[in-house]
Amino acid sequence: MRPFRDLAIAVAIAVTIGLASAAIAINQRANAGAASFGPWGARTGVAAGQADPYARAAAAATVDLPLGTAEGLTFAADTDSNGRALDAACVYTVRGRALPARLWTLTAYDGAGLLTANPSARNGFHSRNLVRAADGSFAIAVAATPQEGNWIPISGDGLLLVLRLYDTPLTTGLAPADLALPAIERGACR
Amino acid sequence: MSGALRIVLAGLLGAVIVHLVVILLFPAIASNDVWRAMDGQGADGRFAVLPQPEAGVAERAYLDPMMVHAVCRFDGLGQAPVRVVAVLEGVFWSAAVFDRRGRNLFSVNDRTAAAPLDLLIVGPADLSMLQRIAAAVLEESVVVDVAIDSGLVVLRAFAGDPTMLPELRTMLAAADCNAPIDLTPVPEPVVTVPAEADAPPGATPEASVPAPMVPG
Repeated sequence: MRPFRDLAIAVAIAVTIGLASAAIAINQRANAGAASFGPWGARTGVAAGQADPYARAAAAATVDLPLGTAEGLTFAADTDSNGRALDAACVYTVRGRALPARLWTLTAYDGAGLLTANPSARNGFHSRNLVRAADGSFAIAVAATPQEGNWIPISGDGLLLVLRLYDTPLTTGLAPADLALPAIERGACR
Repeated sequence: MSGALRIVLAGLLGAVIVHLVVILLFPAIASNDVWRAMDGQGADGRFAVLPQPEAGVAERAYLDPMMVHAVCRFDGLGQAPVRVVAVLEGVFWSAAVFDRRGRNLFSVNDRTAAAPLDLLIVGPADLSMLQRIAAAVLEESVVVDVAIDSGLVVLRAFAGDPTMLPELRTMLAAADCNAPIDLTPVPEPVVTVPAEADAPPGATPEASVPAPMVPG
């Protein structure tokens, strides 16, 4: 019976490690993007005819209508600029300057990627309704407790920030060499 | 080489094979494609304006809550092209053609497209059809040549403020996903069809006549 037992062990190893590694690869690829700028990972979706089988598998695992080249680019961040995981119990400041896009939106989600309910029904800001400093820079507070200035109220567990740039030259590879997406700074935590 | 080591090595080799098979087959067996996610939206052959993403709801959570989205599913591109005509103005907007799996095949925005938006989406089998489409249509429309039979057209319009939503939803709902396509009439056959042909009198034997080239 030894050959059968050996075969069974080998098959068990193959199936377990094979399936687990495939699941991890698909999940990581679905969450992270192809390129990242600081804490922001680009979510490019899968271009037509793209050969990378991991990108194709990750795209098949998520329902999405990704932005096309004429539409824009989506970036997601689940860590702050220092690489620490975003925590809904902390106060964050998203700080930046003019971005290379005709229009952009910043939306806060919970850890599961869902919008959270709040009395003001505000889940984000866009480039045309936020209050900027005199020098054109901006700071957006993301916190569960009221903050001065631009404030996105959050609740629940976890935090995911999504930055969408519309009509941006980044999609055609004309990225400025010094592309600076907003920094995500962590403040006080409860 | 000891027996145990041989078993582990065989197992790891098998793991590599399982890993590759899963990765390669996953796109074909995954059922959560965006086409099915649009079931129940009434988006077949016409534009349906999607409800805005809601707090705590996973459905449509991938959509930008500061955009209004309208979706039209089309099928049978191999039989006939799809023409999309929409008058969109006043805000940033974009239009994109997706395959069933949610791959973005073609997109335009309010700056790169002429107003009104006029897309003629033709499939792989449509080339002979393209020759019959009136020159006037080809002049007005942007021809989008895609190698798919079914897919989705998605319109996005920027809602900078929630008070803009009703107006934008009305604007997107008026978009036409089934706009008429003028075809040049098939010419009368030069040779009269013999009387013994089993075509009923008056029927146009168009299948036997090659379509003329559209001049220009």
